[in-house]
Amino acid sequence: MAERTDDELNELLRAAMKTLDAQVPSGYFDALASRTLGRLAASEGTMQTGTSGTEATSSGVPPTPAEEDSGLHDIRNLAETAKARISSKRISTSSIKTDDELLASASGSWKSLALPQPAAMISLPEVAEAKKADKKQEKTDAVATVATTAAVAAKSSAPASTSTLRKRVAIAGIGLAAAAGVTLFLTMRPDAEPTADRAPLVATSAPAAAPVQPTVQPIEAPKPAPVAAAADNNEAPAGGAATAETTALAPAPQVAAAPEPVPAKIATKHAVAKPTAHVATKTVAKAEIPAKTAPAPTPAPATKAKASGSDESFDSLLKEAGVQEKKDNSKPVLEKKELSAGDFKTGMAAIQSKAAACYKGTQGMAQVKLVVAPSGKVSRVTVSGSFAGKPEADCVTAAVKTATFPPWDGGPQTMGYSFLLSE
Amino acid sequence: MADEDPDLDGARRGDHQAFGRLVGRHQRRVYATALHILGNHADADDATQDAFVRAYRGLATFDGRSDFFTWLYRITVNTALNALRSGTRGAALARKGGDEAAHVGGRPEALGQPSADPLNQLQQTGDVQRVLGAVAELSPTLRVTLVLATIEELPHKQIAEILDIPEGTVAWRVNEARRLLRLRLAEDLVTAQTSKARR
Repeated sequence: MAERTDDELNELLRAAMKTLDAQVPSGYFDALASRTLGRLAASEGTMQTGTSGTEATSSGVPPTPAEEDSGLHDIRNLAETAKARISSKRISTSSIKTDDELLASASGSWKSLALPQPAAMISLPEVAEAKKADKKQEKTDAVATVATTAAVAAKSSAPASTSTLRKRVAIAGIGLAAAAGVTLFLTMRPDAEPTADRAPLVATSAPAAAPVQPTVQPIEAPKPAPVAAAADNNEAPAGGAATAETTALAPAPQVAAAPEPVPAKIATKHAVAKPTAHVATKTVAKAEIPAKTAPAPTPAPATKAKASGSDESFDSLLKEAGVQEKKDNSKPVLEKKELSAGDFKTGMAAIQSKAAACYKGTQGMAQVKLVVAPSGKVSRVTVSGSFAGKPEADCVTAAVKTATFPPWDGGPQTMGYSFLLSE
Repeated sequence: MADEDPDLDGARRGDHQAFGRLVGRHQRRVYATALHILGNHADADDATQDAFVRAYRGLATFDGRSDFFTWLYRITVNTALNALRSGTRGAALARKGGDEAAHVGGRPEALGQPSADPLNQLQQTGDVQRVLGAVAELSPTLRVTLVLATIEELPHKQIAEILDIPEGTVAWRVNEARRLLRLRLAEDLVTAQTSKARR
């Protein structure tokens, strides 16, 4: 039987089916139509009561009002209400009206890829604003803390009826006086620094400072001089003219006179130890702290007053220096916002020969995935393909890591590149 | 075309009597198709009625661009296929059908091959039983495709439309069904010969 042809097999099948056909009871077809109508009537009756959902969904009955109420309607309504509930629960702070927004709120990773606009609308600004708000909150908290401290101090000094309280007030007063002294000392320090910093500039107009500075100049003068020059760059273009103008702008007699009340040792120490702009910034920052606490009943206003009293243009000088140094410290804005394909190819072409030298007898394609930092340096390299895990991969990795690209203003970028290793 | 059929129009309007007339006109072929696929009367009867009920409910979607029976036939095949997939009862009852066939096979006229030779009768009965048993062992999709191609003698293109599959799949299913059928029948033959030798 296994050797039967298709025709023989078909004949067998037909014969078997004819046998089946012969099983039909006599009179079966006479009653079939009526039984079918009976089943139809029964199913319609069942559907009208709304108990049979499967019948309704699988049959596709002509749309009649009774059938529309048989469950499909409820499912649609349920879906609508569920959707509304979900969208109202997802983000409580912003009302989501479109499906795109709903999708964007569902997955952070997809926002930036598939739905950049909704993502920008919903999530990213909120994060940025939250950070700003946090910073603001921190600042206000700090101010509030200082104010609270001051208020507590004032409170503690107010009910000074008992001797213990008086003692405490006295101790607090001494402490405050000490703090004021330290603050005064810190505020006075910049006077010495500019003297040292600007010694080369002042030297032309103030020969009196010359005998003190020569010991410092060979080491420290080269550093501060560009800073001072850079600080004044906004007002004077550069070069010798800048020297003259800087001398004119900066109160020369005061700068020159500053070392006189201060012992030469201290002046030299200050000049040697902290002549850089960084320290000057710190000093400025420290000077700003009392200014913030000014509203509170602390000795800060007095300090400020004393500082302004001892040096008339000190505040303006600080402001100038502070603002300008902040500008100097800020990250330089780069024109490039991303690593272009051309720059990438150029950078990779430079190390092409190094990578090609990694051929060790096996020809193949080394597929490289590299992460380039905004600085233009390669931060991570992975080699896949036929050389993965082989010595060639290490060699190619080392070669790729030497690649450099022009820096840009943005985040790191992941790029792919392939090297053909062959003879 | 459909609009010219008064019974069809009447059934569309909800006239059960008109639909009853439609059932009477097409019931034999619908039942035969269901029986060939399912392999026994009980399931075929159930599937036939189910197919007609589904057709009545789907009359609104019948646009009349094709013949009504073609549309009804498609519903019947898919109803029978669903019945096969719904459980193993199809296969079990097919075995029962095979048994019934063996019983029916006692009446030679049932096979359409009158024979006075009792040995020949027995041989034919045994073959029918084995064929039906082997068909029942096939998967529902192979079984339906084989029946449509071999018994109903439909072209592969039409089978592809009915089952909503590519024509290439139809051809593969038919060949695969035949291969499995031959294999199964060969196993049965070996078993039968072994038991005969023991006797």
